[in-house]
Amino acid sequence: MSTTPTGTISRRRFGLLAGAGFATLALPTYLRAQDKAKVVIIGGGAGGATAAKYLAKDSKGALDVTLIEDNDTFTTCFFSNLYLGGYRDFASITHGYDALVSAYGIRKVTGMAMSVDRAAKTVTMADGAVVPYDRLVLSPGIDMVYDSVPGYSEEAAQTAPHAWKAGPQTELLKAKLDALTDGQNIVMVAPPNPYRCPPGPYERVSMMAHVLKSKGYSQSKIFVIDPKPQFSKQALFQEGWEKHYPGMVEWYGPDVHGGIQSIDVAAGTVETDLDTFEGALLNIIPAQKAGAIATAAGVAGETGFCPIDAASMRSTMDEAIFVIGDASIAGDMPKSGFSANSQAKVAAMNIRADLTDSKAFPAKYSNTCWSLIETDDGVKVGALYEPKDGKITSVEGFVSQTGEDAALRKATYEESIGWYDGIVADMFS
Amino acid sequence: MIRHCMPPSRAAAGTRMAVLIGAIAVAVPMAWPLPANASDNAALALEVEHAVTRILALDGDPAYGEYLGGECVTCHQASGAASGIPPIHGLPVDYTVQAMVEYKLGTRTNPVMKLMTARLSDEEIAALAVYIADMEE
Repeated sequence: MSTTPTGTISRRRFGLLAGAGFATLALPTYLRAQDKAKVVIIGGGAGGATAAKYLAKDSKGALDVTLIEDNDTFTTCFFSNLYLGGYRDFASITHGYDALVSAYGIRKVTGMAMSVDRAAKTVTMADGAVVPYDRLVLSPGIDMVYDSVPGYSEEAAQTAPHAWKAGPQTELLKAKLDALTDGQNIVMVAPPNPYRCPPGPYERVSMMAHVLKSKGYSQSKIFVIDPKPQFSKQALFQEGWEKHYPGMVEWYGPDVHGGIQSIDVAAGTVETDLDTFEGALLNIIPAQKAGAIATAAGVAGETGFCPIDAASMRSTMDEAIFVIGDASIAGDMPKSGFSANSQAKVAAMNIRADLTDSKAFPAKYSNTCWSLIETDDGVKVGALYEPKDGKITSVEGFVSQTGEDAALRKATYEESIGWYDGIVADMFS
Repeated sequence: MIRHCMPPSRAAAGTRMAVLIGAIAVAVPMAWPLPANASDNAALALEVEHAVTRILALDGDPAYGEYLGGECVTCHQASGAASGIPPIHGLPVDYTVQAMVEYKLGTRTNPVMKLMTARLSDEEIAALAVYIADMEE
């Protein structure tokens, strides 16, 4: 259901003629809704779904909340590596929007938002429909910068999947992984900072190694060509690879491989200064930027991501727009589903304070990332964040330690399953 | 005294009076000569009990608790369903205050909960406890 410009104007005129008091008392609900302040959220992932739910739930009907999302369901990037590893099925990481609509009265507009007219405060959809807003939340996630890896493209991703947006790409990667025979290699090109889910590539390597090991493969190798000199939870992953998959995983930092020259997805090669790596499966994860609508709205900076006020998640370029999740420049916070969920709650609180008489409390953010290295061998890293020194700043944190005993690692994995059920319930039910 | 060094079971959640009595019971053996670690434990237990008493005397702000509680329900399901992470909804105020103080001061050791409670002020713990006690689905 979309509002056309004509429809909006005619309803507005009718409201003016009728008078606000009369309209509130006597008009049917769908017309009364025109009097409420409008919040539009673009993107139904960890950030957007959470923002929509908390805006609708906590305003107790005082706001008109619209969620624009192109898909009917959302497949979480978090735990998609566990699908690759065979620990979860695809349906278990895919969620619908029914409860947001039925339990919270959120209007779901299914379609692609193409542009934002910031002066008129409207969003224009691909089908031409215009959706007006008083406050706009952008939670578009990431887009790939395909040409950051020479030889890679959107088309090449059909052969060498990035699988860094969960969905068909993830299923393609799983199919290719499962089709490997012993002795065939995997080459992963890891992304440069900043990117979605800092430990994600390395958990993925672990899960791919788990699949190869489970089949009894002894000849296959996984080469990781990394543009970064170090990575998230590095000591934990490298200890785990040594322990569970000895000789299978070879990680190359830039001081060793010397730079990625080009890739050839048809030939299955990644050429670096050091050597040319060959794989029957290439998993190319390129550089990333904020989803296209952020750029279309003109709220993305030179880095491709969106600067925000650390105390509120409000865009520094437009006070009626909030940017949350992976698309935002969130200081010390990693780009993660947990972060997006945390930022969504801060944004929702500030939007309610803008548009209703509710109070804005000081912003507090948190994040924890769990990773699975092998069956029952889970690790985690977490931190608290606050607005400080003009950015979102880490104020306290922890990380799992190398050499932890099996019972603790199993408890950490079980905790991650509880967290998954918790966060998807927090987003979608 | 050892009782106070262990996390209380849910059933053993004390009343405010029991907490006060506990603080006194811990205070008495402090005068005895004890091994260093036992003395440290006793001092920590006393610190826990003092904080709990202080927080239980506050009136938690439910609206603030609802905002802060957004951080809890990322993991602890608001419906009370649980898998791998225990449910919290409807827990009595004194139980929640005791547990959060124990995480904050380190007598409970889960790193995530230790982190989440690290920056909470007395007022924030009081607000959260009121919110959690009122949680229902």
